[in-house]
Amino acid sequence: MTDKILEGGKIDARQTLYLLVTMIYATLILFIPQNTVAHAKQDAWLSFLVAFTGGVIISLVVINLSLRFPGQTLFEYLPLILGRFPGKIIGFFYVWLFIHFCALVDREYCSHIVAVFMPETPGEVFLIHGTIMAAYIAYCGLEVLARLNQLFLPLNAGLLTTLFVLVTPEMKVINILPVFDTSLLSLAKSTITPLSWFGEIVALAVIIPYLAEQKNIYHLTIKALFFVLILIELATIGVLLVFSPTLTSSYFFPVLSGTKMINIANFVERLEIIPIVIWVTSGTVKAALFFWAAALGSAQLLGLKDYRPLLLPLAVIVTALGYLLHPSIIDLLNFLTQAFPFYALTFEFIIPFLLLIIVLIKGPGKK
Amino acid sequence: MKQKLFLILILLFITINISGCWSKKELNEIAIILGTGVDYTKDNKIQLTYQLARPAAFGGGGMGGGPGGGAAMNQNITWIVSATGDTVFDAQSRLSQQIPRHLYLGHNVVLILGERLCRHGVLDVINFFHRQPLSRGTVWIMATPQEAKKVLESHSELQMTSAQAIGFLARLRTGYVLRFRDFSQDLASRGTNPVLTRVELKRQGVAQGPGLEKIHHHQEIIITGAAIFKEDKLIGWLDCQETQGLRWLKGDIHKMGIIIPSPIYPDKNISLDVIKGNTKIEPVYQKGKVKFYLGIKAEIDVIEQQDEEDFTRTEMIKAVENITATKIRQRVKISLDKVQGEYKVDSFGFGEAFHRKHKKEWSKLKNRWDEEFANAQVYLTVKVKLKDTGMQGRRASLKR
Repeated sequence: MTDKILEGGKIDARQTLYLLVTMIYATLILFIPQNTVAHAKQDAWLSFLVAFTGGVIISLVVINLSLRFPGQTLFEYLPLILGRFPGKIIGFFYVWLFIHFCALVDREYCSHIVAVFMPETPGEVFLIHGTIMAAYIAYCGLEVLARLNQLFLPLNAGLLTTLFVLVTPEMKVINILPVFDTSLLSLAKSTITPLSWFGEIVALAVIIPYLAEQKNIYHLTIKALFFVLILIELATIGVLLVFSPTLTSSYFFPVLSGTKMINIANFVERLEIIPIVIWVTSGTVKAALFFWAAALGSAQLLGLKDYRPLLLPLAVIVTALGYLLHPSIIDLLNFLTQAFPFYALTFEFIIPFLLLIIVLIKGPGKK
Repeated sequence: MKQKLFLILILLFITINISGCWSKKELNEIAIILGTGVDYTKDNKIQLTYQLARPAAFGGGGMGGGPGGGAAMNQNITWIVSATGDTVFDAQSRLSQQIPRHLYLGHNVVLILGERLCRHGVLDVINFFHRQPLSRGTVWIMATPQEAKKVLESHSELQMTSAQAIGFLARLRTGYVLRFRDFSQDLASRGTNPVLTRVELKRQGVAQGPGLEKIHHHQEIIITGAAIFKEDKLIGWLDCQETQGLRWLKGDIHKMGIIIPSPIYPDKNISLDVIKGNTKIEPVYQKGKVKFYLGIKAEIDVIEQQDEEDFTRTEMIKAVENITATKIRQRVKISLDKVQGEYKVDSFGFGEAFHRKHKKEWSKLKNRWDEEFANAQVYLTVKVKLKDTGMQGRRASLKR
C-alpha cells in the first residue's frame, strides 16, 4: 500500500507509556468525577476500578489485532481485513472519530477556562489557540509529541500528588463511608462514561507500528492503564473526602473546587492555577495525538505521501466542530455522559472485536 | 526565507497570546469584599451588605505597614454598603451601579446571615455563593440574632477590619465554627441538620491609650454560641455553654475549659483544659428502635487549683477524672436535652453514623429521620484521663 515515509518517528517504551497515560487521564481528571459520583456516590472509586478492567480488555483486543499486522496502522490493515472498499469506509469512520475526539478535547478545554476563569472572553479564542497548538505539534510528528509529553506528564503527576497532599487537612474519612452502598445498576451507570474514556486506548492501533520495540506492548499498555487508574483514584478519592458525594456531584469541575479548599496557615492557598496547568498541558498533548492520528489516517486512506498538507484543513474542521457541536457546557456534559459512551464504545470495542473475530476466521495477517 | 517568515508568524502569535486576556481586572479596578451579610427585610426582600476594604487607608499614616497597626488616623479602612433586591444578585447588581469598581468576592472572609433570613430559610440565598466561580468553600459562615448589616458595620481593635478579625477568631476554634463547604454538606445530607456559628456585635472591653482620657467603649464581633437549623430554617439558638456540649457530641473538641468542684474542699474549684478528645457513636437498631451508644474520651490538663489538692497522688487523679467525667456528661446532657428534646432535630450527624452502620435500615428511615432521632435513646460513657498538671505537681503550701 502506501509508503512508510508518512511518519518517520519512532518512540521508545517509556514515551509510549507516558503517551498512553496522558491520552486517557487528561479528560477524566477534569470532568468525570462529577458524573461518576452522581451515580455511584461514595463508591465512585469502585466504578473506576471496573472501568479499568474494561479498559484492559479493550486494549487486549486492540493489541492482539494490531500485532497480527506488523508495521501497519489500523487504516492500512482495515482494507486487508474487510476488503478494499468497506475497509476504507470503516477507516474514514475512525478518522471521523479521532477528529471528533480532538474537537471534544478542545471544546472541554475552552469551556473550562471560560466557565471558571475568563467568563467575558469568547470561547473561540481558546478553541482556536488550542487547535493551532495541537496542529503544530502534529506537524512536528509523533516523536516530538511523545517527547513533549515526556516533559509534561511527570510534572503533572507530581502536581496532582502535591494537591492531594495539600488538601489532606480538609479530608474526612467518613465521607466515603459506608462502602458498597450502591446498587449494581447505578454502578453500571457510573462506570460506562469512564469506561468509554479508558477505551480511547483504541488509538494504540495507530501508534503501535511506530514503537521502537514491540515485544512488551501488552505489559506496557496495562501498566499505562494502571497509572491512569492511580491518577484518577487520587483525584476522585481526594474530592470525595473533601466534599461529600452530594456536594461533589454538584460541581462541574470537582478537582478545581477541591483545590480551592486548600488553605494552609492562611498562606498556601489559591492554587487554582495548578489544575489549569495540568489540564492545559495534558489536554494539548491529548488533542495533538488525536489530531495526528486523524491526519495520518486520512493520508493513509487516500494514499498520500505526506500527511502534513492535511493539517490546516483539519484544523479548520476541528475548530468549527468544537464550536458548533455544543451550544453550552451543559449540553457538552449531557453528551459526554449520555450519548458519548455508546457511540465511542462502538468504535473502541465492538468494531475491533468484530475485526478480530473476522481475522481469526478468515485468517489474514500473522499467527 | 520561508522559514524566517514562519518564525516571525509564530513569534507574533505568541506575543499576541501572552500579552494579556480579555477579562483582566487590575487591582485598582476591583473592590475587595471582606465580609458579606445577608438579611431578610420586613417587606420580604433580600438585603445584601458588603464590607469593602479601602486599601488606600491600609498601612498609611506614618506608622509603617504590617498587620495590626498602621492604619492612617481618621481614615476609614472599610466601607460598608448594602442594597435590597428580590435575589442576592438583584441586590448586588443594584450595588454595582453605585460602586465605581468591580465587586470582587474572591477574598471574602465571612458570610453572616441575619436571624430573619435564617428563620425564613437560607436556601434562597446560599446558591449565589455556590455558583460564583470566585467564591470559595473556605469562607466562614455564621448566623446572627441581630441584623447582619449592623454586625458588619463595625471595626476591630486588633485586626484591620472586623471581617478579618472574626475570621481569625474562627480560626482559633474556641467556639463551634464551620465553613461554607461544611454547611453545604450538612444542608445536602439527610443524616444531619446544619448548625451555624452564632455571632453578635457586642460591647467588648475598653479601648485605652495616650490621649484617650475619656473612656471609649468598643464594639466587637464575637462568637456567642450556635444556631440550630432544621433543614434550611433556623429553629433555635444555643448559648456558649450549650455549644460546648454540642461540640462534644459532634466530636469537634478543641480548646475547651472545664471547671469542676474540688473533690475534697467544698466551695473550691479546679480548672481543667481539654487537650484531646474524641467521640465515638455506636448506633444500634433493635426491634424497630434506634439507640445510640456514645463513647467520649478526653485527655485533660490541670490549669489551676484554688486549694491544695495533691496531684501527685493517684487517688486524687482518679477523683478528678471521675468528677470531670460527670461534668462532661452533664454538659452533653444539657445540649442533648435541648436539641433532641426541645428542637427535635439531629444536629449531631447521628443519622450519618446510623447510615454508615446500617445501610439497609437507613433507606427506610431516612425520610423521617428527625422523628426517629427524637425518640432515640442515647447512652453515654465518658472516659477521662488526666495527662498533665502544668508546671507544678502540688502547690507550695503552708500546711505541709
